[in-house]
Amino acid sequence: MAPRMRLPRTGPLLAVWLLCLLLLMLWNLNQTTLHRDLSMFLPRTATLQEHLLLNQLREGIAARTLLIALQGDLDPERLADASRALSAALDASGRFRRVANGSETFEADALAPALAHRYLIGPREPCQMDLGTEGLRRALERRLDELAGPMPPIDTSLIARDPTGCLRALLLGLKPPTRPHQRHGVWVSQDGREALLLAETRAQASDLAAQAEAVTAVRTGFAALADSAQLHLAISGPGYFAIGSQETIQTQTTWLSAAASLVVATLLFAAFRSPRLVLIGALPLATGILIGTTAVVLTFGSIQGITLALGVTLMGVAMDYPVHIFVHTERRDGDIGGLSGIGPSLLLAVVTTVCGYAALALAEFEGLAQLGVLAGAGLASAAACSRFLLPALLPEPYRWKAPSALPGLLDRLPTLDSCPARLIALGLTGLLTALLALHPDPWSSDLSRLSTVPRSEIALDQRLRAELGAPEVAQILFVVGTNPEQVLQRIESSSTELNRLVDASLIAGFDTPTRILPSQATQRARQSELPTRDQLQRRLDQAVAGLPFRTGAFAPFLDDLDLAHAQTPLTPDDLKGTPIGERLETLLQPFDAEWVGLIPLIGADHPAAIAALQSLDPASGLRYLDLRETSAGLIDRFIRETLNSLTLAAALIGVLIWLGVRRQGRTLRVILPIALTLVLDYGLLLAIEGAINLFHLVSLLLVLGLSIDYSLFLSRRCADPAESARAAFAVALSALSSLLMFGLLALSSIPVLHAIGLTTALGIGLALPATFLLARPRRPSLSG
Amino acid sequence: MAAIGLLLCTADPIAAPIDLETRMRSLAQVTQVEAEYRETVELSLLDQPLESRGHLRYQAPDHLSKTSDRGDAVHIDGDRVEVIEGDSKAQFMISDQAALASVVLALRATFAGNLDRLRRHFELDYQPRTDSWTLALTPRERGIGNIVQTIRITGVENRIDRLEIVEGNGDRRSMRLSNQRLLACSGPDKDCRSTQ
Repeated sequence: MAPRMRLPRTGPLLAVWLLCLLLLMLWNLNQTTLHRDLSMFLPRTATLQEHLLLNQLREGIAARTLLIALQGDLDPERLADASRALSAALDASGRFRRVANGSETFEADALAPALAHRYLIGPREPCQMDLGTEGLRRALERRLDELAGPMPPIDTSLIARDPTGCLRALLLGLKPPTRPHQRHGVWVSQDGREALLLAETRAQASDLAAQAEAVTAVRTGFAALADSAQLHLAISGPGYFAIGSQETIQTQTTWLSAAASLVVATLLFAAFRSPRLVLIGALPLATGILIGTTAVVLTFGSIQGITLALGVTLMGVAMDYPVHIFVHTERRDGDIGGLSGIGPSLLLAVVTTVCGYAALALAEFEGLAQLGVLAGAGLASAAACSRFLLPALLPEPYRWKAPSALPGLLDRLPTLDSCPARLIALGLTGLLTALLALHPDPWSSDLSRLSTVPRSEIALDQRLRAELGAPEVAQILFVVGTNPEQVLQRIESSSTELNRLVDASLIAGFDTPTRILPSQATQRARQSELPTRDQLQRRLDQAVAGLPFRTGAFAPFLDDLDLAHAQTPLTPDDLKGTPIGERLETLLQPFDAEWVGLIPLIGADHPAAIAALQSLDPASGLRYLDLRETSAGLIDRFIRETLNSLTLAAALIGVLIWLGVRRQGRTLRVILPIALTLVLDYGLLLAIEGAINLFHLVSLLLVLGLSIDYSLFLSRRCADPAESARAAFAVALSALSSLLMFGLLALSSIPVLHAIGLTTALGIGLALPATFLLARPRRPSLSG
Repeated sequence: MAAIGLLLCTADPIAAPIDLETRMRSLAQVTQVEAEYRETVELSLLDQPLESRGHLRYQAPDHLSKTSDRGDAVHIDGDRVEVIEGDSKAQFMISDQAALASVVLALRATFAGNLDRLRRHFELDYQPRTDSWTLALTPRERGIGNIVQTIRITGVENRIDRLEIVEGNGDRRSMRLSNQRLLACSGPDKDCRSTQ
C-alpha cells in the first residue's frame, strides 16, 4: 500500500494560496513594464549595423509615422476638404510633429533661416557659380523669358531678391523624388477616391500608450469630420500595428482563450463530474504564470509582451499535471494516497521539460532567455503546486473511479512493444531525420511571418505605402561621427567615392544630408568666395545691359549677399522645427553618444552594386547596410541559436530520461515516440507552411514537453491494470484538451498564434498515437 | 461631326441686370472656349511692359491651355501643369505654387460657372451692367492675398473678355481675349453648337 500523508485543512490552504496569488499579481502589475515590440527580441551583442537597424526600427521616423486614408464615394472637393479638416484637427491635437496631406506649402517663416543662408547652403550652380557676370547674364535672360512666357511667375519680388533662382533650386532639392497624386490640392490615391495623409507622432515608436493615444486622436478627428458618415477611415503604419496587433491579439486571445477554457472545463467536468475540480484545476497554471513572470522581472528587470504570450503557451504542459493528480489521488479520512506510483514519472517529466526550457535561458537573445526563465520557473512551480497542494483541496473522501470498460478498451488498443516494431520506428525516425536534414533551406527569415499583424492589414499597408510613394528604404550607406559637423565633413570628403559609384552606373543615385546642409567648414569656404557688394554691383551692371530691368531693381539681391558675408554658418540646430530641418533629421540622427549620417541609395538593388558597396574602402568612412538582409540575418541568428539550445536540451533530456528510467529498461520505449513525433511534426510543418519560423520552433519545444509527459506516464509498467488505465486515461484526457485548445489557436488569423496553434495541435495529434503505440508496455499486467 | 454654326442672339429686350447665380449658369453652358489672347505684364522690376500673344483654350471641366506665338505652351489638366518652352518640358503640380493655383482656379471656375468653388476660395464682388459684367475676386487665404490682391474678370453675357490681376507688390497683368469661339458640347468635341 502506498504511504499516506497528512495534509493541512482545505479551507485555510485555499485562502492562503489565493491570497499569495493575489499578492503576486499585484506585485507584478506594479513592477512589470511590458515591452511589446518584436525588435526587443534581439541579441545583446549586436554588430554596429544591427544596432543601427534596431535604432531605426524602434525610433526612426518611419516607425513613428502613421499612414492614413479617407475612403469614400464623395465629391472630390469635399474629400479634399475632409483631408484638410482632418489634417488641421491632428495638428491641433498636439500629438503629431508633422501632418502632411499634400496641401502644405512652405511657410515663409519656416523657410527664413534657409532663405537667408541660401548662398552658403544652396546648390552650387545657381547659388555660387551664377554670381559671375556671365552666369548673371544667363540667369537674367532666363528670368525674362519666364516673365514673357505662357506661365509667368506670379510673385516677382522673389526675382528681385534671387535672380539666379538659388532659393528655387534649394527648395526643389528638398522635394522627395516620388510623390503621390494630387487632386484639389491634397494627396489622393491613383483612382482619386481616397485622400491620403501622413502623420508623424511626437511620441517614440516604442511608447505604445502614446501611440495608442495618437491613433485615438486620428479616430476622434475623423469622427468630427462633417462628412465622416460617408467616409471610411483606414490607418496603417508601425505604431498602429503595434497597438492594433495588441488590440487584435487581446481580442483574439480573449475569445480563443474563453473558448478554450470552456472546452477544457467541459472536458474536465465530463471526466470528473465536479465543478470544484474544474476550478481548482486552474490554480497550478495560474501560479506558474505568476511565479514565472516574477522570476523574469526579478532576473531581467522587465518582461516583454511576446515573452509572456509565448511563455504562457509553453506552460500549456502544466494543464496536464492536475489531470494526473485528479486521476490518481485517493483521499480518505484526511489522508492522501495513490500518488507514489506516478510521483517519479511526474518528477522526471517536470525535470526534463524544465531542462528543455531552461536551455533557452542561456540564449544570447534576451527575449529567448526570458522565455526560458519564464517557462522553466513557471512549469516547476505549477508542478510543485499540483503535486503538493492540489491533493489537499480535493473533496473528502475522494477517489476517481475509472470506467469499468477502460482496462478492456486499453487492452484492445494495439501496442508495438516488440523489437522489430521498435527497429522499424527507429529506422523511420532516422530516415525522416536524414531526409529532412537534406532540405536546403527550411528556415523562414521573412519578418512578416513573425508578425502579429493580420495579413489583410499588411496588404493595406503595402498599398498605402505604394500610393504615398514612400518606399521603404532598404539599402543605405552610413557615416558615423562624434557630432553633426564631423559627420557632414566626412560625407563631403567621401563624395568622390559616391560620385564614382554613380558615374560607373553601379547605383542610380543617392540622397545625403550634405545636400540639405553642407558642413560649416564648407559653408565658410563658400562664404569666402562670395563676391563683395561692389563686385556684384559691377557684374550686375554689365549683365543687365540691354535688358529691360529697371535700375536698382536688384537692390534686395545685393542686400542679401551683403548679409551672407556676415553670417555665421547654418547648423542643424538653426533648422530645428522647419520643414528643411525635419528633412535633415531623417538623414542626420543622434546615435547613442555619437551621430550618424544616412545616405539612402537609389537603384542599387543588383549584385554588381551590392558587391561594390560591400567592398567599399573602410577608410572612406562609408559603411554599407542592407536593412532587409540585416533583419533576415538577425532572424537567422535567432533560429540558429534556438536550434543550438534545442540540441543541447535534447541531449540533456535524453540523459535525464536514461538516468531516470534505465533501471526499468524503458529508455528506448520512452524516447522513440518523442523523437518520432518531433520529426514528423517538423516534416508536416515544412510541407504545410513551406518554411519553419521562430514560433514553429518554440512551439516544437512545447510539443517536446508534452510528448515527454505522455511517454513517461504511458511507459510505466504497473502491477494493477486499473493503475495503467488511470495513467492512459489521464494522458488521453490531457492530450484531448490540449489538442482542442491549440486547434482553436490554429484558426487565428494572426500569423504568430496560427503558427503556435498549428505546430502544437499537429504535435499532440502525432504524440498521442505514437506514445500509445510505442511507449506502452505490451502486457500491462506482465510484471504483476 | 456637325458643329453647326447656329448663332443664338438672345439679347434680352428688357436688359435687366442678371444676378450672379444666373450669370454663372449661363457661363456653365459653355463647355469649350477658343480665343486669341493678348497679355500685358507691367512689373516693378522692369522699366517697360512685356507683351505676348497667343492662343487660349478652355475645355470643361478643368482643361486650360495657352500657346504663345513664339511656340511656348502651358497645358493645365486638373492638378497637372506641363510647361513647354523651346525644347524643354517641365511638369509640376499646380498646388505647388499657391498663388498661381489661385489665379488658375479663378479662371477655370469662372469658365465653368462654378460659383461654389469661387465662393470657397474668394470674396466675390459682382457688378452687372446692361452691356457687360465684372467679377472681382479677392483671395480668402491671407498668404495668397499678400501676393495676389485682386483678380478682376470682365465679360459680356456668357463670354469672358478680360482678366486683370493686381498683385501685392504693385505688379499688374492683364489678358484680353478676342476672336472667341464658344461651344456648348454634350461631350468632348461631340454634338457641339456655338453659343455666342
